[in-house]
Amino acid sequence: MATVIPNCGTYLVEAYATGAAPTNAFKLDFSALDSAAVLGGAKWYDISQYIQNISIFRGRQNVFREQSVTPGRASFKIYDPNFYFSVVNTASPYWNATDGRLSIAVSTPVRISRNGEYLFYGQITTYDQNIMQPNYATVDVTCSDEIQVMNNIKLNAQTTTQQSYGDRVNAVLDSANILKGAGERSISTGVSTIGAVSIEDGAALRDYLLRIQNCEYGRMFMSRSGTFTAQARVQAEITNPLVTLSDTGTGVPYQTFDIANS
Amino acid sequence: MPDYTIGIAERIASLPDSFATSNSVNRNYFQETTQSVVNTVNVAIAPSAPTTLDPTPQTTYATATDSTSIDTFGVSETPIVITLLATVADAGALAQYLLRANPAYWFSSLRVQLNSLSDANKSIIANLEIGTQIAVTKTFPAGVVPSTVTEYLFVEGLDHEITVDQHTVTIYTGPATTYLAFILDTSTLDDSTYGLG
Repeated sequence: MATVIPNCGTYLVEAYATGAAPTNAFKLDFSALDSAAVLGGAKWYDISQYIQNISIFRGRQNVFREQSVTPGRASFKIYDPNFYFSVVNTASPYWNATDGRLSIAVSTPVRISRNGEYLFYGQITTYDQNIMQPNYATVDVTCSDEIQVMNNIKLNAQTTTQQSYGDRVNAVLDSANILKGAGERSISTGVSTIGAVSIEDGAALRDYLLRIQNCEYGRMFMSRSGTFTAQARVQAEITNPLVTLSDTGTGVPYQTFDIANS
Repeated sequence: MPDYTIGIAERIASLPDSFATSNSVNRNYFQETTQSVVNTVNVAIAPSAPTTLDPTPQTTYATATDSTSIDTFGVSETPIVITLLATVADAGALAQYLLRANPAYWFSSLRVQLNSLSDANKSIIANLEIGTQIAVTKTFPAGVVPSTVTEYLFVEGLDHEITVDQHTVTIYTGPATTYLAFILDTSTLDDSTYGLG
């Protein structure tokens, strides 16, 4: 059940898990076709009602002092009075009897949205259950986006050809066989040309992307809806701000700000 | 305008292999720095593979300098950074791009609470994406000149803090260079505030 925060919006936290088998599971040679019986398998579970305090951070705080290609992060606390999120509760609606474990765990995909617009799309990286007195549990969950996964993907040795920044990014993602679905990439051509340098065997995908990024010095990040985005280096552009933050009474008011410097 | 010079193979460095592995002399990444000024930038291109006749190929690199900044602040130089760039011209363009001739300051870490905003503005702020151009206006009390400053910035980072009763977005920004669209028979000629899209 989505959570309404007064004067802010309707928030949804979902986890993609297998969970318990449906009570009206479709059974071959038994269930009637076109009946209400459903197939099992993973689906997005709405766990919003159990969630307390969400933090999300994507991108970087200072463009001159932090590398791009940094994983986005999210964290939240699960309030669990029923032990639905316990790693030992076989009666949990999220218990996967086939695997014999809770299906919400490390590597489970998670998405967080407000009014139907995603704020974060990633997967669980740590899952720490805490048993509290008198008798309830909380779970501290942290998540990272797909860039974190790229740390663990190793490339095979391969030769390359001279390519544009965008073409090389696409080629290396193709080589790693990831993000090949519709809308999973948004990659600009860039202004730099990458040389025909061989890729060494076992090079980490994220490290290699960082090296391409260092040629362009644009931005690489996962968008709030989970699209891998590679942008060209910042160039002068026509003045066309999406929004004006202002303390003049017009525009969007801000509470505080800092002065950043290079 | 800063000076722009390209020096090729002015320094020789040993490469452990053909894949431009970093060593103590040459890196293949840019060390982010707390220095406000960088007026000499060295960017190397992808090295050729070692051969029997040339087991330690030289590093070919470009240097961009800003002599005015050097005169003012002294030399602030990056090490030679080995990139995968194809040509010295590419390396020169990147080196030029990375120059920071003068300290830059801009508005950042802007905290916005969604609670008090209109529905439309709530959605705009909540749905901001990295790379979006925004404007920030700050007014100052009497006696401060100018009394109002507006900066055009890019969103570089976003932080959401969502609790049971509020949603606060902190927007981290980076400087942007913007210009107004030149309109024929309307915009002033020879005015750098106008440009072609």
